[in-house]
Amino acid sequence: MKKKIRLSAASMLLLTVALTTAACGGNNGNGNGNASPSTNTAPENNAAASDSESPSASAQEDAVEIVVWDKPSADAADKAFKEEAFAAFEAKYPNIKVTHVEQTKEKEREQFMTAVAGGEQPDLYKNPYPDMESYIAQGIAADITDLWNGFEGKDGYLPSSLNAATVDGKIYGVPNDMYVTGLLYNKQMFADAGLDPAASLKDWDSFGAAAQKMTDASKGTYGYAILGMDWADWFFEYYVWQAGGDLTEKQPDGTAKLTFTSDATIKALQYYKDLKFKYKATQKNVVQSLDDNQKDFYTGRAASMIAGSDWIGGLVAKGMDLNNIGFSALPAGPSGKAPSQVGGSYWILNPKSSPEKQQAAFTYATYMTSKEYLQSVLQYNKDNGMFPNLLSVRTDVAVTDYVDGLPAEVVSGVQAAAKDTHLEYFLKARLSPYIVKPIQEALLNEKADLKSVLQTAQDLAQKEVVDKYNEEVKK
Amino acid sequence: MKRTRMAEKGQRSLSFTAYAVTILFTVFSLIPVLWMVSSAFKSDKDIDAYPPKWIPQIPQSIRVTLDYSGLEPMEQADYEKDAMEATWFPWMKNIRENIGEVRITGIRDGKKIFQAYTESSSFRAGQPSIVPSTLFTDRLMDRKLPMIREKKLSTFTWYGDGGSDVSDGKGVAESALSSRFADFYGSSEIIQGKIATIEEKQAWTRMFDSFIAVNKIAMNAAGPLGFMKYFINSAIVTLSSVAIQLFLGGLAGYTLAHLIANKKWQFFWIMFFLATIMIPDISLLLPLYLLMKDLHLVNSLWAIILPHSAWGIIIFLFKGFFEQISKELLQAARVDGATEFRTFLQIVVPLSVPIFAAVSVLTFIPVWNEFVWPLVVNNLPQYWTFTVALNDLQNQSNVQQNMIMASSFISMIPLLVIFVFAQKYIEKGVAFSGVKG
Amino acid sequence: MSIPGVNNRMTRITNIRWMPVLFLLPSVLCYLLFKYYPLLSMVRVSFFRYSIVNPPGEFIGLANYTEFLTSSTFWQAVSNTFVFFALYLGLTFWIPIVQALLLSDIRKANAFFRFMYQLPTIMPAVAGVLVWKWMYNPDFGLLNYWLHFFGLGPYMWLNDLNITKLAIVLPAVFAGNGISLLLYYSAIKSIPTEILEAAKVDGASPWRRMWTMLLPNIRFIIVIQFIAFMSGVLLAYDNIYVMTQGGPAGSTTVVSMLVVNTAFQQSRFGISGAMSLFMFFVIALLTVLQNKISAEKD
Repeated sequence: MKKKIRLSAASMLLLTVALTTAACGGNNGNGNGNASPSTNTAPENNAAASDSESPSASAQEDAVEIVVWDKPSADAADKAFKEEAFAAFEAKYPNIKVTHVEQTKEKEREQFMTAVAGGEQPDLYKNPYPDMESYIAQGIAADITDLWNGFEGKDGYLPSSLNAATVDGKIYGVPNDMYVTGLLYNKQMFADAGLDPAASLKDWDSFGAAAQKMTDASKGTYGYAILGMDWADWFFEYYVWQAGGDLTEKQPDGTAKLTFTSDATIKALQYYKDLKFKYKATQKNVVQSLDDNQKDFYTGRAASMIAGSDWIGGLVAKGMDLNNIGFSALPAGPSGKAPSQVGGSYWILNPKSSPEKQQAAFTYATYMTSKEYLQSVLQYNKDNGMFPNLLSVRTDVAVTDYVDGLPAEVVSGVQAAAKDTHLEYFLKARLSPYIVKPIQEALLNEKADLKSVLQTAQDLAQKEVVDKYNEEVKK
Repeated sequence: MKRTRMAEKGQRSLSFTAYAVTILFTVFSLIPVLWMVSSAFKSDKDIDAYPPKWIPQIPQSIRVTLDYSGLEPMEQADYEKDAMEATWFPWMKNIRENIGEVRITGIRDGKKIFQAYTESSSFRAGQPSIVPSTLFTDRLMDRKLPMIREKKLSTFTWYGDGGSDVSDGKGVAESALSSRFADFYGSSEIIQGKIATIEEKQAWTRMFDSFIAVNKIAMNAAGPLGFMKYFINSAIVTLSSVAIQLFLGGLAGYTLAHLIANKKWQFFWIMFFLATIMIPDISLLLPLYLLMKDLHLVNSLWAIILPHSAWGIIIFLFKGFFEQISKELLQAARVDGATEFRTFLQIVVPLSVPIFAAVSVLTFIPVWNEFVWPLVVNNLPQYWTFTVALNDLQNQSNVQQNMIMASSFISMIPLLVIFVFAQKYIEKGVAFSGVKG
Repeated sequence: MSIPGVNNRMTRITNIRWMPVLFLLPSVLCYLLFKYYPLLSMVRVSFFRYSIVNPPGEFIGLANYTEFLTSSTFWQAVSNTFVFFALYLGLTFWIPIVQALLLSDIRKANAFFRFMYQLPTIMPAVAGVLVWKWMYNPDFGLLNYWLHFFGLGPYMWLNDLNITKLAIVLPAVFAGNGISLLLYYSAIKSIPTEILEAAKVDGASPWRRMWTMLLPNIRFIIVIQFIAFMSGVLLAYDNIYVMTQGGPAGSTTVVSMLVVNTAFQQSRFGISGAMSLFMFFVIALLTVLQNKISAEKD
């Protein structure tokens, strides 16, 4: 009796499953029916909207409404300033009505992607460099080449600021801000150890020795806050550049080639491992978050770390003594070079928005990066004791005019670092997890055989990412 | 005789083990809770101290007397500005220190002319806008003074000519902190008064400032009703979700237990409901969002509440409980001509208060703590729940570790209250469903 | 519906035919709408190279399935998931059962202990993980500090690839069992005292009574708990995410994390849906197996 019930139990479950799949088939049609009109309606709606808008817009200058995700949070220090700027924009362009929407400070990407998937992508959105590659590939960022070329003020922007938003000569983003990375160090800790920063930061060996000297377990201090968590590839790539290579190469035909096992990569990883195990100059908790690295730095536990030029203000706000901060390009590697990485963010337009909305969004983005606006931001920062971003996307805005009271060395350090720059490695968004793994293995396991872990990682990345990518490119 | 003694012997070892294991586990499991509580009262610096410190240090009260004798007479507002500079600037320089409050007393020719007072919760809440960096200028305070007044971050009491006499102080207190304040006043050209004295005292009342600071920051973010708004949202979401689950789950559980006789169908429906707990919630994020969008429910509390109407375990628990209710009783009601719905409402529900209580508590906690879905589906702050707001708070630059711990501590309180009041109901509820072997 | 012979057959029939339908309908609708419909759209999406801009994108048949089934990253995540499952099973699942059995023997301060067991449960999960993360910190954490008094360590915890998984499971050994404990404890308390008295008279020792009388009598609740435990552990995401984000070196990346990352970091919703479907079937299979085993024991 019981056995029978059990059997029927199993068969019922199978039935459920079968029903599910059958229903799936049934619903499949439904779903298709549902989904396709809805996907079609979105552009249609827009088209309809633009149809009704465009004649009237030209005739009566009816307002174009755009949605921008840039509302400052209620506690933002510059909230009042931003709101004034929003009002000034609307006064200058009365036919553009901007709806500002606030985003939380966590899970931003999930929020944005669900909105995109739901057909509610904002007309204008600001996102960081590393996302550009994939957003462009997926068609999330509109091609604004024509808008850009027809834009009078385009010459005011730093030409290199467009690099990360340009693919095959087409432009996909309006540069909003930029930073350059370098080595941030605690001058006091160098002095206490009797070290001259300039000499210590000369090359890999001198830096390793200096960092080792500043590591003192009894005081809880250490020389270099290494980034070993799941963004480890971000800073590790710099060391590969210093060794004269890169993690990937973009071939002339647009395909990607992995160079995880190149000499440069192996040397760089060996140096990482040395910093941890030979010089013992890093924190023990190498997988701690970037926030924890920063905390170690501003609390005087770590003597140095890699940082963006735009982080200094945050560190000072947390209690780091401004006069104690040094900023320099990274120590040079075997290649004798130490290029800095530039990053920042772009405004991207919704490709599904009507041409009128795109034009309005473009106008808004260029207004928010105009000479006048950026100067007013710098002036506002200066008046309010806020630390400015020392790098501008514009050539006609001189940050140095607004830097009273800032240590001259920091300003010149940032400017020096900005002279030799490098973009992040090609295909980073998709390859990141594959390269982070060998880095972490090198940092956590003293006996790790670097060549073989890198080879394993490369084989895997080749098979799971690069082969597919190259196939798509060749199509 | 023999028997009882044997039993006692076993009893003794059992009792010993029982107490030992129970005490061990409760003590170990308390460590994180205790650490959280003690950290809520600590300065941020002490949280990462090594060796670890368990006892929070009492914050320091810094009392500075500035002497304006011999200076050109100034307006009241100028004195106020000077007092604010003397408070906020050196405090910002020593932001990591355990300062509980700063009092500035201004004297002129031996008479008290003003007193200014700032507590650390106000400093933490106001710091990002008042002193965002250590780039201090005199002009800066011109802009900030109205903000300090408007938000009542510092108090300033003016005595003018009517102030009391002040006896000579004892100079600068001998501590690292006081001497750093003194150095700042000495080296800075911004502050006009000359230091007469700096005293340091312990201010134990300021130990609770991480709690007050969290509250002030929340009020900054969301206005006076703001944080209450999140609480109200959370309460609406949680209570409605629980109510829906009780009603729908109760009906379905009753149906499964008493109204479906066919074993196969009964099993089918149980599996229909139970199978849903095997679906990874997080993978439904996108389809569910698209569904909510089609229903025009994005950015509404319904978007958070409705998906909670489907949680398989609930129906299972109800069914287990209802099966204990004697069929004869229900039959009697039916014979009397009661409709099935009245039978359920008038006979089954009154008998089943414990399971309703148990299910309420079981669902309350996950709904209360839910984070990713409410955040994704509602991106407008007016629809945020307490948990979302709390997480957002933790990402703000002026929120320190101790405030995060304080806010976690606060968020425990509603759950604690529920548990204390509902514990015996849960036990009864499960007791019923549990008998079924 | 086999109700012993009663009169008033007509009313009964109308009641019985329609009432179950009416009573079940709202729940069934909710489940269809909020669970099965999204599940099905996920199934559908899993056959597409999903395009977020023009959904659903290109139909690619089973390519998503073959892709993840041949990906070593996926199998690494599957193996991680099951190692976690084994660890949670071996280290945590039985603990509240033992705690409840022992607690049921405690007379003095029983309510106090029950309350103490609940305290860690109501601590916000994220705060709990943050505290443990701090305790594990090899630079200034509490655990190594205490262990060194016993001549142990220092351990690298989350920095040691061999024990990262253990370090994630360990907090659950001590906390987070509150609700389970309460369920078990209540179930034990509801066992009729006559049964226990009878066993006592028969000369069974307290220990014996515990294993032979108490434990079997709470089987029902153990089974329910096990089903919930299984899906809970196999789909665990939050605590691992907060503790390690899947690192270091992928050692704590579980399938549900891969599902989320593929969807939201790479916007490959198709393959992400395919993977969650895989997990759905794995858990369903395990549930059937478990059902079979526990039925056989009956």
